[in-house]
Amino acid sequence: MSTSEESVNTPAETVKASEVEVEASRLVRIIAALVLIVLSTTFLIGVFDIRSPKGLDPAGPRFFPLLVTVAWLVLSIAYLVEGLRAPRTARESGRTWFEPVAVSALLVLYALLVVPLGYVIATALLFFAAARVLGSRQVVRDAIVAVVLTVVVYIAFTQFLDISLPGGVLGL
Amino acid sequence: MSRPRTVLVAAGLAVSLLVSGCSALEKTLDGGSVAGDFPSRNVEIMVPAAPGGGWDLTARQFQHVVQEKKLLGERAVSVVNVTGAGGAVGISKLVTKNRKDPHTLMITGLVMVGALTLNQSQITVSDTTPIATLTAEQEVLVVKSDSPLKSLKDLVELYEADPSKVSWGGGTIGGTDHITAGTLVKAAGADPSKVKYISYSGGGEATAAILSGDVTVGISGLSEFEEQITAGKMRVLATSGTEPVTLNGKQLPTMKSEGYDAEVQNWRAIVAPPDVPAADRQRLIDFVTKVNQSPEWAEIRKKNGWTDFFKTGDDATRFIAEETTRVQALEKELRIL
Amino acid sequence: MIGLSVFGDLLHGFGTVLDPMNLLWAILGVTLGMLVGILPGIGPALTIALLLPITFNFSDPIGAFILFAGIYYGAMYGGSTTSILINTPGESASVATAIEGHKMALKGRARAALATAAIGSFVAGTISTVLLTFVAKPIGSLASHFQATDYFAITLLAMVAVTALVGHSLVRGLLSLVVGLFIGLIGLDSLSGAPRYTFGTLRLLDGIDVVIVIVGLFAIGETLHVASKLRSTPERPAVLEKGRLRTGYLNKSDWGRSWKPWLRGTALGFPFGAIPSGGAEVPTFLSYSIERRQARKKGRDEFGDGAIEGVAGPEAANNASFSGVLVPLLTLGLPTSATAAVMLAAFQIFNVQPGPQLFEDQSTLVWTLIASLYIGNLILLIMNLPLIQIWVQVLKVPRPLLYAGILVFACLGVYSLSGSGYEVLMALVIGVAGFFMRKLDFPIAPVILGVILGPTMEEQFRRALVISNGDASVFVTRPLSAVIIVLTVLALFVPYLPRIVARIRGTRPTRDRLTFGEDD
Repeated sequence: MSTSEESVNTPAETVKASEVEVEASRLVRIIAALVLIVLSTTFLIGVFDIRSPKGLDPAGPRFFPLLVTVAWLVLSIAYLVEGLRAPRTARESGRTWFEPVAVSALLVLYALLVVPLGYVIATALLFFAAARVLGSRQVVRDAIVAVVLTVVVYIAFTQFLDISLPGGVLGL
Repeated sequence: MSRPRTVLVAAGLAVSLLVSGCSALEKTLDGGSVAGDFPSRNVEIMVPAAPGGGWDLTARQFQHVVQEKKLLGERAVSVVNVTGAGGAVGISKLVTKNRKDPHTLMITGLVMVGALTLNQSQITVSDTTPIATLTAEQEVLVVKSDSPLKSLKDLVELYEADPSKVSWGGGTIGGTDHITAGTLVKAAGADPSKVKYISYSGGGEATAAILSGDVTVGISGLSEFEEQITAGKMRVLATSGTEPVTLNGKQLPTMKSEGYDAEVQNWRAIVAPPDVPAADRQRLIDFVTKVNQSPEWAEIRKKNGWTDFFKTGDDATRFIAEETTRVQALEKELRIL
Repeated sequence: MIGLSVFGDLLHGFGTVLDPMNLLWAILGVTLGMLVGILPGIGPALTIALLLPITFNFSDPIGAFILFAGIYYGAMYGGSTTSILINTPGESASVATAIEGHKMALKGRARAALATAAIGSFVAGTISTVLLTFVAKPIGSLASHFQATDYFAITLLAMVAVTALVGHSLVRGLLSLVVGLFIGLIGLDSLSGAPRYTFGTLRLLDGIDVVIVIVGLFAIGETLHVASKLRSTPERPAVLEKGRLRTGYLNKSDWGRSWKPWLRGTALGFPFGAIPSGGAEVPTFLSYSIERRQARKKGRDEFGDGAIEGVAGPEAANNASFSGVLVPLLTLGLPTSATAAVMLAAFQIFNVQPGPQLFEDQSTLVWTLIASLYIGNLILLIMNLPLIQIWVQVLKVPRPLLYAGILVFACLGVYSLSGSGYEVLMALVIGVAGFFMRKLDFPIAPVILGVILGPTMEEQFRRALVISNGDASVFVTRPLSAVIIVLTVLALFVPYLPRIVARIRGTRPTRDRLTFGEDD
């Protein structure tokens, strides 16, 4: 269910799906498979750290984690095999890493600053900066939308729904 | 940067955030507040649970009374929900971030004592400055109306004969309902470690389990089962308090009146952060006493089926400490620790 | 007992609800409901809980209940809008809608998708209210007959829906499901009290809220995905196909393809609402998988590429589930979803006792409430058909502003869950995972299915075993469970039956059989 425009236009042909539809290169897939194998193995080992007076009894707290992590590991290995077998025909197209990394960084900053700065300031900054990272160059318009949107949300939530949002430096 | 490496960096960042971020960043993420004479600014009541539950209702009704009667003059009261781990997240915030500040209060209760014990938390309710216990709710033990168990004695005898024949259904593990089951079994002189307790989450799950015959006996707050009892679908074996409760003109038996020396009150209290100055503590006690004495609060108690359970200051502190010790011991005996 | 008097009572109810004040509450309720359905994180349960104290001042509880009911089913409808337009469902009940709905929007068919959702919700809401009116009492006791083994069997049946959600590869689809199941394991184990995968932090003891998973995977994951392709895909507003036709927003073929899914969705939503299986998610996913099967049977496999049946079915199912929820709530006082539990608390505060006596004791209140459902559904339809023209303008909002706005609302939703920035970080981590899932063509919906169903499945399985003292035969000896498990097996294998038969006969199957890792 990739939402890319390409896949929308791909006709349901008889071509093997793995050749056309997967965007990432074979190497990325293999790395992803390895990451999944490492994670599932770690969590499989973690099953035995779960406090369980009944051991692996099906009625105890370890049974389902065991099933899930084993299934995860097996499927990850299958995925690795699938990746290794795939031909090296993945399409390269102009994807960038700057924007997604920048958006993630903005969200980290937001999480750190929303309480000290207050909801209104932090959120308006988030909106403004995110719009810019995502390609907007109309500074005035973005600033106006950012402030209006945040203030409306703030008032609606704190006044009508009685959900408290941090006031921060504005001391609201 | 080449793509694979960036993938690794991003994945590494994500995992390390997940693991380390939880504790290290908490300080920055939550913020804090400053101390001062009470009431020198607006008061915040922290509900260590999501909106909609018993603690939340208590806090919002309390707020309602204070605003209506202008008990803090022009100062306002706000309610803030800090959810997590049966209240453990809320109390750790109160104890570590709001030290000495009389303007941040928190609602707590027996449920939190149970949850903190279960989580093997370093912090206990006794680490706060208890202001007052406010209300209590009765627990009730019920069976489906066509159950062969006619009295509490029948239940206890069945348990003594074969504990695996009795499944007890109630709320969170280690919570008030579980504690009630343990207290009863212990008072009857039987072995609490054999209690087959099945926990249900809210939304009527426990009620459905009792009506479908899945569990032998159900335990919960009286209000939870009231309709079913009134409709004749459930039969009350006992309530948990000292004073008998009258429902639909009929006096219900208590565990005591049935001959077992057991009592459980699902109490709720209001507490302040640690190290609040003695003068502020006294002002807070006076303030809460005013709320408790108001006719509005009495009306709210009646509406919600809460009994008056008012103890202040040292009495409250002593009571909370006793409850903590009792619950800790009981949870060990129930083999959930 | 139920006869002509029902009509009299209902007529009386209509008389009360048409009072201008009550009408106003109904309008206010559905509007508010639509809004909270759109916003991620703020659901109907939270909204009603927060409004509860305000309604104490109502002199007449009827107004309050009309308001609450409006919020509930308004939210069931509202979630579809953002799912379709920007692939960010606000509630778990509209995750299934997002799958085909958003694909339709990308093809310029946003109006048709929104219209089939609105009309489907109306049809389902009205039919299920009729059912509520006439069969509330006989169906009411349904919920009190289900035991742990039966619930376990039902979750198994719902898991079958994953076969419709796997997308292009069985391996990747199942990996998504397994990761969802794993996320569901995180936190305090409800039955033993043991912490699982909490890495020693308090924050994870409650587990990861499904809202955070939805917001992370959909809203944030989608934004990151869009961000990574900014330079390669020039901004182009989605080309909307011609708006109003003589047949409304739906063309003839749309009507023909929608009405059966509406009815099937209603038939799933109503009974599933009436049993405590967690609300609207199970029937929406089941509806999606049934519609997909039906389409394939007819040789028309547009699913995965914007099939209108995949919007019509789940949207009907989630609206019908609301009336289903009301059945045990009114007749037994038994709430079967989180929102119903809050409504029950509201009943108690107004000293109204839901239960078998309610229809006699509080006849006016009950029948006005039911009448308000008929009216409220109509209001939703009348309000939403014109609104479609306005909603589709969202697609014309410049991309940077649209996605910046999505981020703002995503953060708001997760922040208001707990009041700390921590949840925002959590959603980001999940969003990064969602980003890579999109890159690597992993389906998203199975994760949500795993997060929602996994915990229930495990709980009920273990409860059944504890109650039976470890005897696993309970799952097949109880007739109800056995029947559901047989149904599950049938649902899994019947679609492949022709191929299996063909194989046994030695002839080559007409279509490729499902092979490991290939397109199914």
